[in-house]
Amino acid sequence: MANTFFKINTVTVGAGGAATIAFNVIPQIYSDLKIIYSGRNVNNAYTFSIALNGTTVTQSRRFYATGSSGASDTYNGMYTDYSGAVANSFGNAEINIFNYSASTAKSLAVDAVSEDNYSSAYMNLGALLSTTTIPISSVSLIPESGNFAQYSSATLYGVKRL
Amino acid sequence: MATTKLSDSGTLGNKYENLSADNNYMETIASTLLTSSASSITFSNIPQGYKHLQIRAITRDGYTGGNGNNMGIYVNGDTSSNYAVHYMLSYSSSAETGAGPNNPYIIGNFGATSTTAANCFGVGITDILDYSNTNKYKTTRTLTGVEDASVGQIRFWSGLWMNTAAITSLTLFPQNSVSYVQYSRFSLYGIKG
Repeated sequence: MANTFFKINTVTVGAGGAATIAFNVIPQIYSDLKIIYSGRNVNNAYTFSIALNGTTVTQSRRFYATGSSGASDTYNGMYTDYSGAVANSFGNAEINIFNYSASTAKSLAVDAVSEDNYSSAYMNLGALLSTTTIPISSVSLIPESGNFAQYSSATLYGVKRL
Repeated sequence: MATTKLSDSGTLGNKYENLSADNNYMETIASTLLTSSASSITFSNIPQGYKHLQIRAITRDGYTGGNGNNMGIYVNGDTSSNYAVHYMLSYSSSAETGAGPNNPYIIGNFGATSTTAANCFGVGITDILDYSNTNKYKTTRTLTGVEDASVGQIRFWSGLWMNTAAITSLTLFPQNSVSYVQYSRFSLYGIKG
């Protein structure tokens, strides 16, 4: 099997939490980037956004559910677990950033879920667009408010094409 | 263990370098292709050396009550109601959402059934993150669907196992007390992190 999937870095949040999860050294040798996220917010804040090269990606279309209802909107947040969720539960998300080294706009695909033992857990599928034409050298995950909780983690992978 | 050939020549002669130890971040742990029907499939003795797990499944089962059937997943043999699930789905021109707190299992793949068109199978990918982390309950995320010439449905599931133990086994089974049929395949991958 050809090697096309590489870990770039893993960030694990320590005691006290973290205001962001950041990847600041990204080699320009892959085709796409993938982030696998397992996290929780210490506040009653159940989304996080993504910033590329320090600029939050705001153009978004998502399909989401809140347990009892679903809808579509242009909100750029991705769901994660929050302080009101059952203890020890963490959100689960995957973010793909395509052609991150290109001198064209960057398209992203997201699927994210929170989990809870109630009817109100949240989930979303999303497409986002960054209009920057600069290759992406840093990526940050930013909570809606508050901090990521201890044990939250994210791993950044590089995906090569053959 | 895979070996990647980097070049045919060099100062030391033919050069080969094994990249899999450091660079192959997704590896097959186990895979089962059914040669006959089976009521369940269990991945046991799951190694703890990965960051995440991924189940990739392509299934068809003997259910006759509809054109699709969910896969249930027991973790570590736990058959009590220590799970929660949530979903959103789309079929025809409709969409639905729903929740199942205190569920008896996680739900994964949405497979084809006896009433789906012949030779059609449902497909799905389930990601289980931080499966070895004993500070976390285990959350799953599944994107799955089944399609044939007349009907189709996609489902996006989340699942929660309310236990902090490391995951060492996963048992996959079709709902409604039926069996998976021949050519259904179930693969478990480890993703390093």
